[in-house]
Amino acid sequence: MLLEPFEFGFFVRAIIAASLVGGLCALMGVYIVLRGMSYIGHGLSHAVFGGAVVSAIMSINFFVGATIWGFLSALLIAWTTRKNPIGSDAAIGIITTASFALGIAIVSRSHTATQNFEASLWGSVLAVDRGDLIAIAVAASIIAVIFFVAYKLFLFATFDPDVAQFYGVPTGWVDTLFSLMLAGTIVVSMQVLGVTMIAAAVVIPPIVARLLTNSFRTMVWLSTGIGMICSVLGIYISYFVDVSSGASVVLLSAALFVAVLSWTKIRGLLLSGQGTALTQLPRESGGTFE
Amino acid sequence: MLHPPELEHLHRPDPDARPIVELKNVSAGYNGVPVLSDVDLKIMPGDFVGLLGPSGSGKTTLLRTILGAVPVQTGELRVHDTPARARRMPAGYVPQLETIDWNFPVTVEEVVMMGRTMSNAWFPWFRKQERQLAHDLMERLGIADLSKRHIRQLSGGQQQRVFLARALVSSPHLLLLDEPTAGVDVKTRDDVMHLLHDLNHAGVTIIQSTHEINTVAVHLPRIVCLNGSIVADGPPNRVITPHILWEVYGAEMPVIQYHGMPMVAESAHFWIGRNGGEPVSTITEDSHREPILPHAHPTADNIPAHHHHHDEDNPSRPS
Repeated sequence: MLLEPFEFGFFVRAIIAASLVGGLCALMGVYIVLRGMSYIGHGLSHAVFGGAVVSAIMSINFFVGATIWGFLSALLIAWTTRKNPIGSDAAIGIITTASFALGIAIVSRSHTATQNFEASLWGSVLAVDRGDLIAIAVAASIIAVIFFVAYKLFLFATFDPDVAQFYGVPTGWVDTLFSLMLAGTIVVSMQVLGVTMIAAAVVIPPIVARLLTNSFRTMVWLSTGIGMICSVLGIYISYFVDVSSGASVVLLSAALFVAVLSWTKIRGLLLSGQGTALTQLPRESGGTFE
Repeated sequence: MLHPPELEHLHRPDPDARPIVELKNVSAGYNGVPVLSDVDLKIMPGDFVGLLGPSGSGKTTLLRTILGAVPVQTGELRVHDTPARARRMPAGYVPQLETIDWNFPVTVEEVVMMGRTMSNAWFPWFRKQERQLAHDLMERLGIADLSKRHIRQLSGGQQQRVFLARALVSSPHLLLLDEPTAGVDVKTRDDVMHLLHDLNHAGVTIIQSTHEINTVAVHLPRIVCLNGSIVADGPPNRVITPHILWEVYGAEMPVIQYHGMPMVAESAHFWIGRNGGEPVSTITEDSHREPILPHAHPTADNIPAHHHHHDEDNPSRPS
């Protein structure tokens, strides 16, 4: 009975898609969270919705059109904050909501398109077809390879972008590449998780991983693993309780976050004096200078 | 412990050497607004230079200009005898510790290895020799046994050493430090300064910015005072005078002599309180009164500041 959903081809596709998307969002999320740009995941996913609608109207391939749209939005955000006294949070708020509103405006005028975009907003396992699966697998592979090969560059540029530049790291190119990767991630994740749920899939797994480790390398692996497991379990559960797949994944991740946070707090109290990873104070070790 | 002035003659400039950093009439700043203007500065190989100046005087901007991160609007900047644009600079840089994200999940070793990011940029791992090099360096700096620790689990002096190690792991000839002794206790500050001196003796050219006048006056052979442009440049005896400090900081600072080294008594109230309400050191043109030391330490040399005969007491300082 518990294996029943696996008899359906659409469900197997959905599970594979979910594990890839969950891992991908969580991997991107490590860099997003550590750069303090959690809000951009939320913003860009809305911006990409506008791009998706415009692509559909103009009969451009969804993945290509929406990725370019999201990438341009990210560049526009960066450009706006660089040239003007505008904070990045405000720039994200303006550009992405305008883009989202454009998508909504077009959808509300052309009534025929409404049905398809509902899936983009809320996420649906049923919406994943073979083509989507291939697109997800390609995007996930490319992004994983980039993070692997340029591991050192991304680490330095994330930890201390200003100083990384002094050490010769091409931080401008790293940022641009990152924006493109983020746009691609959001575009392939839209059908599975939905625009409104992507932010949580990007933010929760790395935060849970951060609570459990002080090492960057471990955090990358842990976050990706948590993202994959939560997505797969969330979609599996959604089959039985009949809720939208995105909501199911997010609620499961949030529950895990609460559980891990509670556990670290309790452990911190039990081992009082040592604290949790996030609240550890610098230990004064006198006599280190001879 | 005070650094003995005898060591400073080791940095006497070689007349044939070319400057490692040279700024000719440089104006630099952001968005077309100059922070620095008309800066003429030559840093010779082996120099150990302290940058003094109030907040906003352009200390950090000068360091960043040398690193190529601030557009040079007019004038010419040459580093390692190459024009600013055409270089890949092997300079080490240590940022202010307060700019570091201490919650970032990195270990000591991971931070130190960042200094070698570009040596083999498109390869995910570091070579074995690189790791060995970093380990040896950390050993010399006394942080090797901390390599697996998170950066938060360190004392202030250890944190400073970690970022110093990151700067040194690419074996730079030029080391730039932004306020390396800000916010650390007196003992740590002294340790850091001695460490920098050792590096300088090993041949590294060092430029550091600081707010701590007395620390650079005691430890460094050359001080550059900034306030949008260069106000003074020379050995502490020439630069740490009430007159120059007034020009740099716009504040009255009495200068005393201690073991032949100029030091600033930063609070004027200290003097007013002990001298019947009269400031003992003023910078007005008509008054050439020397600082009086009403309750000086018995071993202090009560030698007046900014007098040429003073150099005879201190022949090792380059003039």
